[in-house]
Amino acid sequence: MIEFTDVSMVYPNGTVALRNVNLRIENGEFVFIIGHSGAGKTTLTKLLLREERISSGKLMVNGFRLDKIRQRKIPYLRRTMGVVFQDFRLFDDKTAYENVAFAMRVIGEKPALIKKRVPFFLNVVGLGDKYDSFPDELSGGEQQRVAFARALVNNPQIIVADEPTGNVDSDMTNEIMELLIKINKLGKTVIVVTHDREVVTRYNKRVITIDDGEITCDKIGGYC
Amino acid sequence: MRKIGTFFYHIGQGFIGISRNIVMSSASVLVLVSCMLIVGTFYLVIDNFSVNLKSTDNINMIKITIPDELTDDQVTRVFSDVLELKEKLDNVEKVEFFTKMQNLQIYREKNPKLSDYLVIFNEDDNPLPASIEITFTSFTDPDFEMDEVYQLKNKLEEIENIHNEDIHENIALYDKVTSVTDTLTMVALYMLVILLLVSLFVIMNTIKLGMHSRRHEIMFMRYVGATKSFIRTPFIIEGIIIGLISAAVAYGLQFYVYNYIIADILTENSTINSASIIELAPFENYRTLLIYGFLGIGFFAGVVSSSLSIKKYLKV
Ligand SMILES: Nc1ncnc2c1ncn2[C@@H]1O[C@H](COP(=O)(O)OP(=O)(O)OP(=O)(O)O)[C@@H](O)[C@H]1O
Ligand SMILES: [Mg+2]
Repeated sequence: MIEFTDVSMVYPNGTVALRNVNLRIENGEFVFIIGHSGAGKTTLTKLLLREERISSGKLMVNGFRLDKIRQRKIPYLRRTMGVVFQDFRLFDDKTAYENVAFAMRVIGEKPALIKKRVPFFLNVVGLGDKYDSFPDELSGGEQQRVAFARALVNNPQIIVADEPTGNVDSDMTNEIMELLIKINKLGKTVIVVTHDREVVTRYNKRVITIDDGEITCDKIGGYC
Repeated sequence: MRKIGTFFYHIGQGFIGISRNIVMSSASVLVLVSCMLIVGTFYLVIDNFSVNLKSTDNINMIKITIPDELTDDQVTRVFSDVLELKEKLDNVEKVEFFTKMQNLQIYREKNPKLSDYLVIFNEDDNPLPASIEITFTSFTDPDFEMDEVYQLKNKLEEIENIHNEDIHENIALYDKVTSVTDTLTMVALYMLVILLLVSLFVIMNTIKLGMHSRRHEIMFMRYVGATKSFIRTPFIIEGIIIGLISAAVAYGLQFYVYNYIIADILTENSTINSASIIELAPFENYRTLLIYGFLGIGFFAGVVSSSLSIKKYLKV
């Protein structure tokens, strides 16, 4: 569960990225976040991960109070979230399997559990036959799916995807959206940041519009 | 189970880190080994000098030889004057009087090979004088005041019937050697500090380089929720491995430097200088100390430099 209460965020250089945001996202929801470039969408996801701190207000994420959280608790907050970056951020020297396994390995999971879960999630994203491929042997869409498997593998409650369809063609966009819907059906909260209006209109989901750091619209299926 | 598995994972990562960056890692080992070796060599030389010095006879005493022409009364006066002086000083352990005969006896015992010749001397024909020996408490005692020794010596010269040439001491020698070893110790300590700083600097850069090449991995680890200690541990292990390898190499080299180079220069085996300067203690005497010392330096350098260098990459 995510709850923003009067949250403002000002970058050290004085840029006001978010002002007075009030927002509640329940577990299992599917939410689009849209807005112009520079509106504050990425900033919002950074706050969720506590990559940036809120300047004022109150922010609860999966039971953690992020305006008060201690440094050493941050890793445990992050384990409740899976992030897919626009540029995938896969490791070129690791196979698809190793990329996914790495996310488990570095939070200290047992090898036995890794061996069980990695193939499972590679199958969930439809890459059952590409375990041993390196990223440069995979298409953009396949790489994206490895990134999704990696985000899912630690069983996070929330999946955040920043511009997942930013630089892929429309076929691929559909594939990725179907995958996100599938992930949502697994019970995960899915937050998709995009400025692809076409995608947003096609799926009848909750849409939160940010404009210049403020939430200007929050309704199911479309804009205001 | 989980802890043990993770532990081996970190060790494996530490070795991978070193092998990925083998040139810088070797440079780190080289610098650290030089640091250990130079400090170790200084220490061994200094210690050999002071051990030899302390085992030298009669070093911490003043010996007054009593001129033969003095009467028994005069001798008694001298002895009581000395005893009086002793009362005023804290660092005198004992004052003993040896008769001419006792000194002859002692001389015979010390030189058994000469006993055949020494039989010709007896009570009536004894070339050795009577003597008074003033023994000080150990010079290594931190409270020991070297000045008091010189003051005593001056006072002894004022005693009636005792002249400058009757007073014998090796204290000046002790003083000189001590001041040389003290200076060397200071030099060794400064070198330790400087070389350690250089080593830290080199290891820090080695590990920073490794971290830089893995900065994307580190960033990612932070995002998926790896703890700081999990991210840090392989780098610290990398530092420790560098430190321990250096300690092992330095120990091996120190063995050769001591037994072949130092031994050659300082002892009778010398090819440079035929005179024996000192008797070298066996390397075994220093084994434990060197092992702990080198491991300590290596461990310290490894842990400190890696901990310092990782900070920058753990900010997110
Ligand atoms: N690290 C930063 N320091 C200072 N200002 C920043 C920083 N990151 C973003 N900003 C500013 O904060 C505002 C919001 O940026 P943000 O990245 O959240 O926008 P966005 O909605 O994700 O845009 P886009 O659609 O282009 O990705 C912008 O004005 C941006 O210039
Ligand atoms: Mg953005």
